[in-house]
Amino acid sequence: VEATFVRLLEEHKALLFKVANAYSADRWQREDLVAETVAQLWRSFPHYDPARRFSTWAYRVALNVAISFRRSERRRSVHLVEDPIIIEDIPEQSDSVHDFESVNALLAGLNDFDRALVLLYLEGYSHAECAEILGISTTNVGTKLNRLKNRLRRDFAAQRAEENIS
Amino acid sequence: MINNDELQAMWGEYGKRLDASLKLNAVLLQQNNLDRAEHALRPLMVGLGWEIASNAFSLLLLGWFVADNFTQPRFSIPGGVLFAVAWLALIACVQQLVTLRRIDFEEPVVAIQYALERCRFRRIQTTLWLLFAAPLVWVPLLIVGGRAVGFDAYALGAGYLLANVAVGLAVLGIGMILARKVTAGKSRLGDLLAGRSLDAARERLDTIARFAEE
Repeated sequence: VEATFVRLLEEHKALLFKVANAYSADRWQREDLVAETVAQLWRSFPHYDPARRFSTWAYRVALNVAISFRRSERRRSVHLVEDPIIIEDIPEQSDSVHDFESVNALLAGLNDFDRALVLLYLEGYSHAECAEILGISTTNVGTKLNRLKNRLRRDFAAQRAEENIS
Repeated sequence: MINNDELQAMWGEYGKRLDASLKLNAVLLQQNNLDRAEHALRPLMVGLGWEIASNAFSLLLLGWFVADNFTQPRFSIPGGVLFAVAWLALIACVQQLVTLRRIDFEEPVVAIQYALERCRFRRIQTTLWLLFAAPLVWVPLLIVGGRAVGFDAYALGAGYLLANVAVGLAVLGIGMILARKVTAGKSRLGDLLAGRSLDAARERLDTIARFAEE
């Protein structure tokens, strides 16, 4: 079971990193959040139904942990491990890193739930899948996404214009 | 202007790069992390468990006190007041623990976050309620505690007991005024007394409700 879990986690490690990045401002918090998400995924793993997509299930857990993590006023005083670096980020200098940071900056301007929806949209989930993960209706997902996509496009353009000026 | 498909493609491209550049520390994960994994809400649940235990213990002692002094209303009434307060506090704690135990992070995000926020809102409400009740509860506590150690608090005189209530209320009032002057986020007690914690929890509940609305 443990080997299967680690293999699935290895296949979806980017998911953990993206959610942690979207919901935590600094590196140390991000690493704590990744550790907490992994712990929660492992605890919930016995209930995971292999007939379903692992990423959909993992997104539900990861988003719930991330939003709860942001809410808690007092951070965990004890880390899960002494050195909680479960996922090491190998720095890379490229346009895509810059793009990723730009998108994350846009996400930071949204509330926790709009942020979750945009994150799922960017990951390419269908409206039905977004609705299933978040627990809202498909129509609601469509309406909200239309509004959020317009906002995202506008903000991204403004961000780029600002960068060009500076 | 960039369109949304381009934004999505950009995100997908970065995802691929992340897959290549991130390294899962599988050894560390298997050796240390998984065995120690605990529920994210465990610290809160342990805290609530302790509160329930101490409230239940208080109820036992107060029940015994009321039964023992049943024929003397001057002691049984203050004992009954404390019994009622401890009972309400116990119910509030049990309700919160039941809600937390039902939380399953595999369930849809909106429902889980609403339940968690509702629990937090109730917790803040209970703490505030106990804080405001404290100056009024102090006098029955003095009477009951005194009786338990063989001291009659009524001998201090009604004026002394009323003065205690007045001082308690004054301290609470001054505390609330000072709390409003403390910058938000600087002190948990300050935020609680000034009502900022409750407002923030209420606002988050509204945000979730709005998000769930069509």
